[in-house]
Amino acid sequence: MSGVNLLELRNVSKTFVSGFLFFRRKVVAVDKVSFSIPGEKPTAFVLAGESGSGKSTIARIILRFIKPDEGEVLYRGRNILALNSKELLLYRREVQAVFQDPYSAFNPVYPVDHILSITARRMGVAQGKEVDEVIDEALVSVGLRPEEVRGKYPYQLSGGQRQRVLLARALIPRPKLIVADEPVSMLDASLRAEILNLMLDLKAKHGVSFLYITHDLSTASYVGDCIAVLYKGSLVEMGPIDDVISSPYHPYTQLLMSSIPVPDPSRRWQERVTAPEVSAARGPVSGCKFYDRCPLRKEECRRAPPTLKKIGNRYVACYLY
Amino acid sequence: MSLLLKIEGLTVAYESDSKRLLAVNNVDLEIFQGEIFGLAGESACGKTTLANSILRLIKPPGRIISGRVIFDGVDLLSLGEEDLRRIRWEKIAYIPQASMNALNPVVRIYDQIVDVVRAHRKDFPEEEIRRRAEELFVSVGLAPEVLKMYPHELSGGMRQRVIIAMSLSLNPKLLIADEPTTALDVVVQRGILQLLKDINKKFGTTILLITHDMAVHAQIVDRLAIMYAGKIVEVGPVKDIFERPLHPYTQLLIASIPRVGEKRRLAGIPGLPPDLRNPPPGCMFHPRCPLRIQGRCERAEPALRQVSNERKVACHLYEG
Repeated sequence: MSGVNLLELRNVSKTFVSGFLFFRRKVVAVDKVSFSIPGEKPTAFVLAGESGSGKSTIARIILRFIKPDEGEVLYRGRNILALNSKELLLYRREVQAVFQDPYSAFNPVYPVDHILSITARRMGVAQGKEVDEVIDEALVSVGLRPEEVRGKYPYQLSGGQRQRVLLARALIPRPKLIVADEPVSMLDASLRAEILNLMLDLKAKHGVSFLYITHDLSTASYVGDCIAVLYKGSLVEMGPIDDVISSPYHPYTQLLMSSIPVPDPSRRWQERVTAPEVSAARGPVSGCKFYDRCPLRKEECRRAPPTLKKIGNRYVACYLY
Repeated sequence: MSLLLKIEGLTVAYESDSKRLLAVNNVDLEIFQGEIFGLAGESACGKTTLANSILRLIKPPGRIISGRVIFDGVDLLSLGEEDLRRIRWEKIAYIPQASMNALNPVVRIYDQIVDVVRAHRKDFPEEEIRRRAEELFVSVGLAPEVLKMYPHELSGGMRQRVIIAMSLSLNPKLLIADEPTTALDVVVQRGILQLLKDINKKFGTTILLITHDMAVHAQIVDRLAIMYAGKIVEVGPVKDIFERPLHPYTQLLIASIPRVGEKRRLAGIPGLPPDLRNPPPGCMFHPRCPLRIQGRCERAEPALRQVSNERKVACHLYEG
């Protein structure tokens, strides 16, 4: 396995078209994005960005819900759109997903066991009596007592319990990678900490890698090993998370970092922000997408979009470097 | 500092056929003129119900059972509907959660501001409203041209600024903002928080900021109240609370916030908030409390007591 990436995106792009006839508008949701999650050891790779940056579109492409217009997604070196049926089943087993809303993922008329046993059977993990064992084992590994959860309906569980059950579901096929799209943003602080700890434990004990998609850099820095920062569909910076967070290179990453409220009243924001806010309707830009908000912009930034350059152990797309 | 809002023994219940649930349970709160007061707590702890009951916006099956809400010397709960209408928006402006999505999509921003002002001051001259709207827009960081736009032409942050400008249009004394930045990106959030702070300084508007996000409170409020299961469990200056939280719930809440760049394992809070249809006896937090005193916490409910000059806590650990 050494050397082959677990997951790799190569120049992936996706454009959505909205409107009709003369009002057609193209929205480039993902713009030539490349990154890879290494295969050697379990890694939590963070995909960070604000709303509309394309992070969930990337998740949907990886999960094969939608097809990219350009580029390819490789899983262990194989294009996920060119898998044969056997490989596809393996891919569906090894790459699992957990989403933001632990309320809407359940069918309310079935007890929560349903989603677990369906997964175990359809994925060919277990049959007959083994199914129960597999379910109990998965529930225990996410810190739930099977007797407290099994037979319960979704409305009888708390948000944190539901998100745990969904993580247990994702664990049943023994995945190598879990795509977690904002898995804690709807949970309260106390439950959030538990789910984040669980992700750390699953990585350490079960060897599961995570693609953690979030807008929240404080939770990202807690669970992540590497980070890729997206801005309007393009990667602006990528590297080991501690380095990126302690000294962000790209002006957007810098703005993002300085905007995170520090939970400490003795470390309040001192300087004022004057980042111009632009209206939602905007024309096309030819150069850097961050140009109109960038405090360090130069004339050359308008000409062509900057490409990712390697600086030390990270990548930055900015003319400053 | 003079007292602007005093809430005494406020209890709000939601009632169904057989059950009665106290969403706000015997709450006392004091908010002083000119301060930014924060109300924190996790989902369903009663923050929004408390805010709604200040302006008597509780709808059935909810009902204010008892208590007083004294604003500027007047008890809002005993006021007639017409008198209360004058207080709403003119004296107390309320920005409910997600109100930036409540702008009328087919009416220009300016006309929506005119509507608000005219609803309260029929005789306000058009010229005066326009002048005031333009002034306010500059104060909230929007170009006056935005007045001519429709809501869909604005970003989320801009719409929130419009809402804040509207809420200030009649120069209220108290601004209640419920989760004003929750759906916004961090960069935009910072701008809005800075704006609230500016308004507080520039116009002397007292602000009641409600959010579950402790980091937001740490950044902008002066004093903070922590709510749990319908009760205020701790009140004090925000700096003191973060430095030395007294109530075990506050301690755990603060310990469960991830901080950028810190890898120390987060604590979380074991267990779940109580089912308010069947609340536990004694202290609401005792089933989850690591510091509970056996034989005491599950029997008697602790009162919110003054423990030092500016701090109050409802916990048996601090009773002699």
